[in-house]
Amino acid sequence: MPFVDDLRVPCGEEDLERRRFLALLGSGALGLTGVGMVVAVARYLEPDVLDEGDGLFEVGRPETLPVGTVLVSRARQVYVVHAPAGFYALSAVCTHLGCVTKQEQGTDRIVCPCHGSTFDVAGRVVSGPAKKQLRRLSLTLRRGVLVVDTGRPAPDDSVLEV
Amino acid sequence: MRRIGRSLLRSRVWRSIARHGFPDSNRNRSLAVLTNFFLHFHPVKVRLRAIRFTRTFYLGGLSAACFLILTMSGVLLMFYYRPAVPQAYSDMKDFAFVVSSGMFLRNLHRWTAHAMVGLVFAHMAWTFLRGAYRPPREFNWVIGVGLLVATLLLSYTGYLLPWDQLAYWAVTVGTNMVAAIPGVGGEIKLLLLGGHTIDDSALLRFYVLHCVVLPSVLALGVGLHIWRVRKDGGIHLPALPMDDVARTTPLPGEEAPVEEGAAPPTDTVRLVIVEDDTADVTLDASNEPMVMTFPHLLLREVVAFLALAVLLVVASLVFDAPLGGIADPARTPNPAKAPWYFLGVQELLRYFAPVVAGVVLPSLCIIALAVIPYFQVNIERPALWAASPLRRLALLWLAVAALTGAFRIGASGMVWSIAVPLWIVAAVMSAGALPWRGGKLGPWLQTRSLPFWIFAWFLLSAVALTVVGALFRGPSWHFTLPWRDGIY
Repeated sequence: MPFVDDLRVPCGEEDLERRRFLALLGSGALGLTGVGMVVAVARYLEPDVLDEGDGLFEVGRPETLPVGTVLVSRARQVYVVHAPAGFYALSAVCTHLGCVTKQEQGTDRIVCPCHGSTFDVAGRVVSGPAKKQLRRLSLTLRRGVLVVDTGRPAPDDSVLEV
Repeated sequence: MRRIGRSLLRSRVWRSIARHGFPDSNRNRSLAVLTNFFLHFHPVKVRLRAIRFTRTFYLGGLSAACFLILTMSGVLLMFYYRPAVPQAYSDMKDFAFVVSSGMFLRNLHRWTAHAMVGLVFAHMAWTFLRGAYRPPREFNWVIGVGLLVATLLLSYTGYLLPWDQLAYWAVTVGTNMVAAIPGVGGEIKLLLLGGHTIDDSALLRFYVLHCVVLPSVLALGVGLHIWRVRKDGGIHLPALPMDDVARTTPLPGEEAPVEEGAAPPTDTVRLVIVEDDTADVTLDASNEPMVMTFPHLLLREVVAFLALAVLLVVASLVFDAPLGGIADPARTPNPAKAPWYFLGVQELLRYFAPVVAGVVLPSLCIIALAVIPYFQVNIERPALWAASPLRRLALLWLAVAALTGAFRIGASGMVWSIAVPLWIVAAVMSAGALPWRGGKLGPWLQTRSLPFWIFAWFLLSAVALTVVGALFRGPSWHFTLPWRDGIY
């Protein structure tokens, strides 16, 4: 069987130029297709519709909660606090890595079980490793009932006076 | 019976399957390895030094064996498991109480996964200490680092699947660490979980990653890894006097046997165990003892695999894989601990910001590991303390003091688990500067290179962090004593 050594087939400069151009065109198209595929797959994996419900829930009537109460909704992971200045809602999710904190019994300390971050009932960091204070959540009064929206953050010092 | 067996072996059908005679001659033994798809990553002959148990402790092979057991038990588990909430958890209960051998399979899968992580770590440490990553094997070391990462990811994704409390909260912490990456973290977390909370979609994604994507990557990587070991002439062995010559002419057993397969040596091989690297000066590359792969290497492989299998089966019969209560997003168990191989990172989280402990430090470790072979490190060299020992000692302890300071200032408290190993390693290292007279220890200490000591420090720190995280941490990650408060 005769062997044709393509390395020895003569090739003019013009020919070479054309081949280089076609090679560039081909690899460029392949590259673009690859990038497009990655983008399309990433876009595919990113959920467009999330069925995570809204964060609204009713806490109760403010007059039933005396000053100093810390109401805990475990299911919603929220503390509702009645401080002397008024009401506010705190997310119970630790700002460090997302574990659910717990109020230490008989104290005004809120402790995270995962890495031991400690907060006070105002949500401020008492000891690390958490750096940010617990998130305050939107708390409003609707028809005489306190309503928390876990989907809407509130400023760190917001208080609802009733 | 015997006659039937004999005639089967001689039948046309059998001869069409195994196209060589019974492996009772060296020629047929060569063919048995050469013409078998499953054995062809072995050479026909191996150096006797290479197959000694204490040379490698068969750590790499046993890691691969674990992967095989995991694949088989995992596929069986998939026949019942449904990656949905709350079925996933009830399927765990079914494995425990309803499915025949279900609990055993789950145990086997769990304990083998632990064994694999341990073996892969040990394989890496041993490869480093023996210097087996040196050129021309440097890229294979990089592949190995990738395989370590894949093993850890497999383990991590598998951890969520039982959908119990431990699983849920370990994954919560893990994905929040990812989310701490500046810029892209939140997006990666969203892609990983398929939502903002760990729910059905997250479970399904982890399931696909665990059962399809990551095993495929790992299988491909393992194939590549082993193939390259073979191409580099089998496992790394310390040089013999003539190995410089052998660089240009293949060592016996590297390339040669492949061509020689048809004409193997006829002399019987004397089974002598050759002692260590430097011991036998009469031994050189030209007279190094070789043995046939079939049966000497294969036998050892089979025995090692069976020993591992027996160990894992017994463990699975005796110890049940833990299962907490069903995942409850409202209630974090106290303490919430990751599996043991991530406890080092969890312990770091106590001291450093999530992005540092969970992303920066592990990434740096992986990068540092991957680039090791591209620097001429860990090669024995003239004594570290030969020139100006006092100046070097001062420099060393200055560096130690600076590092200690960095670990005090950079963290929220003194990171003893990293600082103490640093002091120990530095002290042992400094002992090399003493005037040693005779003995083996002194020269050994003096010829270790700087990267050796750094690796030792890394290794010790990793062990210390893991031990502290596993045994000395209780509720709210407070310090506890295991003999007083028990192990959490």
